[in-house]
Amino acid sequence: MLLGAAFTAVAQPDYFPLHVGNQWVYRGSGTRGGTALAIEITGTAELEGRTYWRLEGFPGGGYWVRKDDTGAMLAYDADRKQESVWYAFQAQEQQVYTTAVPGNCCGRAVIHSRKQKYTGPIGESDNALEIGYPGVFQVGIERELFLPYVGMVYRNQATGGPTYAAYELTYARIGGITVVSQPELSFGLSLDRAAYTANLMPPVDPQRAAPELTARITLRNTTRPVGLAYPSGQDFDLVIRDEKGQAVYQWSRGKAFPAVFRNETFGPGQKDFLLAVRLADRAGQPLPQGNYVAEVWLATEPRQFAASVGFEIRHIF
Amino acid sequence: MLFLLTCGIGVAAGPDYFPLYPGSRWVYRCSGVTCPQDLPAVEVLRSAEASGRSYTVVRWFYGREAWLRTDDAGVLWHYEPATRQEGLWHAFQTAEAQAYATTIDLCNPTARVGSRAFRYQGPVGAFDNALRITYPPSGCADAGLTDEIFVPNLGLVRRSETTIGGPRIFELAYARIGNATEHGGAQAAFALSLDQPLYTVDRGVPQMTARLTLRNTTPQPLVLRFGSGQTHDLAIKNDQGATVLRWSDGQMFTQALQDLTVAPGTEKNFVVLLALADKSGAALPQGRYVAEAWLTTTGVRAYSASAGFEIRRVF
Repeated sequence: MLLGAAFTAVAQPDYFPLHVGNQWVYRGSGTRGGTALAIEITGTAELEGRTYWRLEGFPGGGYWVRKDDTGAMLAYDADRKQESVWYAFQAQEQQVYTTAVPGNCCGRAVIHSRKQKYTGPIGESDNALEIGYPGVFQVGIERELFLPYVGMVYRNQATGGPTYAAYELTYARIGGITVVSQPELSFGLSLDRAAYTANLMPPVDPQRAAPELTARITLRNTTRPVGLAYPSGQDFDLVIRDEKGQAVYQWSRGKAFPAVFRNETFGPGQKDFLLAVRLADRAGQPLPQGNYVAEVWLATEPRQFAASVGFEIRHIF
Repeated sequence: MLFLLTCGIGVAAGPDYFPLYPGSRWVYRCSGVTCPQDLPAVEVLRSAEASGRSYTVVRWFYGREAWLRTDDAGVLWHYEPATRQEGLWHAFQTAEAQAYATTIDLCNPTARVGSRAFRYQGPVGAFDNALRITYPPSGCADAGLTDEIFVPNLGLVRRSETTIGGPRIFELAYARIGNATEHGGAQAAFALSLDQPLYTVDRGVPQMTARLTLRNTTPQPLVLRFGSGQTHDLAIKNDQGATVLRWSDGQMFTQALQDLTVAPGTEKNFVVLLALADKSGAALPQGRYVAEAWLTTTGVRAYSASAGFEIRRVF
């Protein structure tokens, strides 16, 4: 299934989703080879009675942008107190419109197609919107592709003389829950909080006051299969270290695992391990206030995948 | 290639209470006195054909496989390969307060639709359009299902069971629906992603693209302090644990303290592009390596992750 196929009930697809937290990461090529570009929406503000979103990372700095009722994307210039069109996504195909998008040379753009075929690091689609910039000589954006509900996936620009650069989207998170990425091998740790509170206000029993930490360990592989060699039946482990680096908790302590060597071929796919840890010492008392680090790893031999995330424990009396 | 998926947002005849897309998975946490040692992960495994129908094979609770399909009316059917019988698990479209016969559990021959606007709040978030299905008491003593809660386009978010040791409750802690939609609830998370697990050396030096992601969906901002203009680093270690390459080597950073705030609901991505070469510019030797990445915050190394990869020469 291609992205956007289920959105046909909506008149105008959203070609540049504006939501605080949205991220787009691009890989450069040509004269931008060996570079990456990350852009994001960092916040909102009311300007001249309208809501704008802060776009950071775009060439040239930060911008305040919004979309009007037609779906066109506009940017607000605080110095001149006026807004201008960046992308007239609703414009008819082959109709030239005026644009102020940074990096264009000549102030003109045209939508060539809304059914352009796109194949790139994040996948393929046959409903990309293609914008061309006529009149480019030496320097300027030449062509951009946008996918509905994802945003810009490709930009090609002349960079002086007979040189060119391109950016391809390799990762995006849209609206908090939609994630697209190039094929990747990824390992990470998620905690359900950054700070845990032990409520020691009387008459609470201190042994019941220790907060619970939920950790999720995720190995995701959308590339070629990888080999995992486990020396026992244990899949993973978790250690909690205090500020001095001392281990104050280890998930596997006191657990027995079958002494069986396992060779596993993993991927494409995802493994999740979820575990709940009571943040208490061996006597059941809440761990002292302070900063800690939760450290996890897959119990392969040798150790290949590990991650750590810091957190805080606070006591209230 | 198939990486992008829409998860059927609102265009089906009715809400999709159990999105059976390839790549979907649901991870639950358990509360109660009789929780299993291994917390359950329900996962779409593969597709299969039986009796002329297409099924999605799912790893179900307690490790068993379930062959499931949803018909055009939104009914969830279960096929049992051993008996070649198909039974109805959920008639999601049943009117509120109405009951339907189900084969989902031997102890629960009847299910009842409670509400389609049930307010649910749990680890993955708050919803006011949940569907609650209750199971009236049956002949089983201390066994069977109590109730289940589904959220459109997300799936089963809560399941309550009756056991001889007391109630057992599974709550959804994480879900990935299809390949492109992720529900993780509140989390402070750090991950390292490599573009390949295997880099081949032919003529040139292989290039690695690594992404460090710090994500904060907790209610509080994460404030990170850095002792210089450097925010992150990445080291390549060989199979002896020796560092053979470090991204920051030879780079200059400003010496000013800086704070970085990761607001609730946002993330920061740091991309490292690295030529897998030694100091002379030659490709690293064939072998197994680990890429270790971390944020260079002051104090203890609080956010780090590593991933193994291989370099192989092609002759």
